[in-house]
Amino acid sequence: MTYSVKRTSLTAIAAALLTLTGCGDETADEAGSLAPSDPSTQSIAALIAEADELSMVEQLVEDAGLAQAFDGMAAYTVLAPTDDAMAALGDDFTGEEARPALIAVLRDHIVPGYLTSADITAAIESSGGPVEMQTMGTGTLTFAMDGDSLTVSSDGGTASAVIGEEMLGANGVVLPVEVVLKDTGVEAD
Amino acid sequence: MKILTAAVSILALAATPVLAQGNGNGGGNGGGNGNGNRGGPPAQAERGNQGSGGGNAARGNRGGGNAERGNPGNRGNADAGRSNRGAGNAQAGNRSNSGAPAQAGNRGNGGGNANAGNGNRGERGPSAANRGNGNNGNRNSRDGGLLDRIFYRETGLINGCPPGLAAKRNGCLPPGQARQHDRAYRYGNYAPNWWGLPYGSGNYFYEDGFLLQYDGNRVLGYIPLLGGALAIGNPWPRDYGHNRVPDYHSRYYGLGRNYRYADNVVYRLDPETAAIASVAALLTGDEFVVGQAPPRGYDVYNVPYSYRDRYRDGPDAYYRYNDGYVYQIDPETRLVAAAIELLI
Repeated sequence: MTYSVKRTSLTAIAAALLTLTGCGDETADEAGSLAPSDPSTQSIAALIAEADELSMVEQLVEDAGLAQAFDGMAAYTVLAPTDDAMAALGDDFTGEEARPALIAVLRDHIVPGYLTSADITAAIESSGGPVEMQTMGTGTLTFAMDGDSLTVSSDGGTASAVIGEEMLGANGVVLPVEVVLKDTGVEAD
Repeated sequence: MKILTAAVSILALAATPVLAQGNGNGGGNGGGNGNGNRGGPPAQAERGNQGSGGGNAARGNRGGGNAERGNPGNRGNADAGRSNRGAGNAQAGNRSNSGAPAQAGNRGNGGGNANAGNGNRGERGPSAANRGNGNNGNRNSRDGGLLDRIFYRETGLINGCPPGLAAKRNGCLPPGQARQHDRAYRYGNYAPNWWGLPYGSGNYFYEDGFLLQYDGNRVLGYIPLLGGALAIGNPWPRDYGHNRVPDYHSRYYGLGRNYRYADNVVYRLDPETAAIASVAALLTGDEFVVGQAPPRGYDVYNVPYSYRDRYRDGPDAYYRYNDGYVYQIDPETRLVAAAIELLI
């Protein structure tokens, strides 16, 4: 099924928002809350669509009908598995029949709000250890530092990945990961 | 600054904090003996702390039936994850024509029995019919201590075999046959919470866009899945419950009138065909209650970009975002101090 989503409306809103905030050069305040220095005016739907290695997530977002949500006002942060990560799920997650399962996987990669790498790092430093964020599935993601690398682990710790280069949008953040952060093990026959 | 003016008209960023401080624990027993034609939606026992109860449900004609909104109960052991969250029991009453029992599943301990009343279900009505509370207590906050938020996380298992499958195969296959018949059995090991559904565990199997619950070889009921039976272009499953969201959320997410909210997902419907057109919002459904600790899993500052100037962590307050609200948290007590709407 195909459908189109208008992205121009959000772009206009995003531009307005950025103007309103007037803080494009913000860095950090006294308490360590960070305002990103140069977010895009694009929506997270557009950022995912334009990313080279997120075509499977892009397709999934379209198939699920999530593109409008990701183009809207509400803020989300997507830990987006790369195409290689999605492909590694194997045959059980291919074909139209797998779509609900793939969407369930994706929900565990979406957290509420605007979560930059700097925010996560600051929270880890402040707490002195790993921190958690609730997902739009039913679990949490755990963030930690591994040396200088910011990592994220699935609920239960079955998978973890270094967070890739962040993409800051007007309505959210895309954080690429090279591993699917959900336990997809199927019981053997 | 033209853009600024336009944006103000759209967003009204002033966002005065809503000092949701009312507590008002109360039984919240609603009257509302509804016998209306729209029948009882799955009356979820959700919203406790609703100030003094005892009011009569004025919307009886929408069929909520004996809506009793007790306390939400314990939210369960936080370590147990979200599947065991408070909220008591919900029991469907006689539902005449279309089932859809409100089974809250294993949602922890709690009172709040909600009984769906009798009613012919021409079309499923919103669960607002079940609100039966009169006195809302302190109106400084909305709804007397709790924000007028989305609390109906789960919609309920639908009794029986999905009509589509029944028509296709003259009934649902037992698990063994399904396993041979359909490679979708590959997901047979996944409990509802794997699918992002706030239901307890059980004997569930995926099939053809649904999650079927079995008792032995007998199908007890089913849940339509996002991207499966709830895919774009599909009609809303007839007996799958849905709810209205509070006005604030409707405005925040730009929902209009043609939407369905169920199991933490808000779907837009095509106004002409009533088919699912898109997903308007994903929600966590997490409850932030003023005066209580925030839910687990909000360790990181996550306020939307355009609100960061106004709500940034500091020595006097922390801020966290969820489902359209920014919550102010007291750094000393670690309790939620206020809930802030982002639109006014």
